[in-house]
Amino acid sequence: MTGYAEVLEQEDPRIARIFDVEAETHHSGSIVIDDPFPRMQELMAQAPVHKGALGSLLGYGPEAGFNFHIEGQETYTALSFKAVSRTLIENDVFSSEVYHRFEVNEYLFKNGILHLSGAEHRRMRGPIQPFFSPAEAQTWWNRKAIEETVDILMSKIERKQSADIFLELLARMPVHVVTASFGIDPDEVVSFRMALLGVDDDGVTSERDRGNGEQRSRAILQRYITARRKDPQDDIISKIVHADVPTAEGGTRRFTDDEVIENCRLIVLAGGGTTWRQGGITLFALLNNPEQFEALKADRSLLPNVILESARWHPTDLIFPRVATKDVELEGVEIPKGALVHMCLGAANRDPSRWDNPEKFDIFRPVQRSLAFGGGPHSCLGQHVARQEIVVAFNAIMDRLPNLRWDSSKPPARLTGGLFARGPSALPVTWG
Amino acid sequence: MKVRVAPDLCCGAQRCWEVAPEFYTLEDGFSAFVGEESHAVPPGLEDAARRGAAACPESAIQIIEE
Repeated sequence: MTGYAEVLEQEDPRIARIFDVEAETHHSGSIVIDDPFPRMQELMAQAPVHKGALGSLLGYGPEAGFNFHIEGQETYTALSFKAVSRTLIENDVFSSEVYHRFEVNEYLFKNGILHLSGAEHRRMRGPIQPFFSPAEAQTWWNRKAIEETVDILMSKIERKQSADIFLELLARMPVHVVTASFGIDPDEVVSFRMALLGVDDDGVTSERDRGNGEQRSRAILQRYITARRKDPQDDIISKIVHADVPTAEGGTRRFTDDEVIENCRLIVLAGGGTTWRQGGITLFALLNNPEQFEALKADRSLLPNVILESARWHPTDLIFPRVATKDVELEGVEIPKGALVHMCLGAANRDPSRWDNPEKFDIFRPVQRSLAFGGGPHSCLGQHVARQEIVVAFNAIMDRLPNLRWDSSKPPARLTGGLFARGPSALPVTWG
Repeated sequence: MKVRVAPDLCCGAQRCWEVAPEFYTLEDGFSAFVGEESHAVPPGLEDAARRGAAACPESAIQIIEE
């Protein structure tokens, strides 16, 4: 096994292939779009809930291949804060069992917490939740990996005059933090993520690569699970395999190997991708609003709010799916049992009944909870770890790269992606 | 003992109600205690109040010892 610092200091060309928002969008079968927000806001102004899939309502057509679209399936889209909030909270009526309908989710995570609803979900998520609390994020996670990872990556970056900091810091930080904290050896981090994504060393994907990836990621995790069941270490896999899981009969049991494997895949995949993209959106917004960036530099206590405001203004994931388990009325629209429901977090986060000038990124607006991290029983498990990572990374940027600004010799960055997994094209910056 | 549930932190995860239903109730899926004011914990339910606070994924529940 290679040492942690040594792995982080290595240049690894595979990183640039897998951490590319547009390439990711193409892999998922979706089209790339510029700025869907104006049209989402127009739709929301017409009605809080529409009949139709979000991609079609936005005018991109069913062939756009957006995530969570099912051809020929009756679909409704919730857009207002109130409508989306209710679909998130009432998870028995607007069920997460919908994930069984999506192929990628099904073969990687079908025994995990993502697909469950109601009491079964509560029994499975409850034992994992405490490892991701705000206090654990700021103590255990910080000490275990966040501080050290940011320090090593920043030491490499500050020796240069310019960099794509989206790739060199914000991509590498979360993938190494989350994977190392799970207890996976540092030299397996990138190959583990490639297995999860189902991509080969060229960064392309095929059915065969996906099948191999399922087996490769299973084999890696199985090795750690077997070892940690016998000999626990100070890592998340050990915590999960030794957790008490309540049973429906009132006893307790351990998670099965399949449950551990599929929850680990879910958390590591989500933790590596969303933190990267949302951290990138946050820095993109600050670089484009230099007066707000200066205000943050003058008062670092604004940083947690800056992250929440970026997630409100432009959450990386604009859409999540649910399925109606019975006939239900949502904001005056009758939704029949079995219909697919698209929850548009992106529109809900710009609901003018909740935020003034919602299209404006404004770190000084009064903080009100947005739906960027979802809500209800499935609200984002890793959000406090993600927020802590971004806090540490941004403090290091402000400490060590004073006068950070766009590198005008490079093409201007833009926000890109599909309706899911959006982020900047790059963050070319210079300093000094 | 009193509890206070911060209005902008409760996200409706419902963990408090899951682990301590003898004290925590829900209203429209959120904690029924959400708001600026604090709520007295009836004698004998102090452990339930602490258990629910510890289970909250948002650390939204503040325990006020008197």
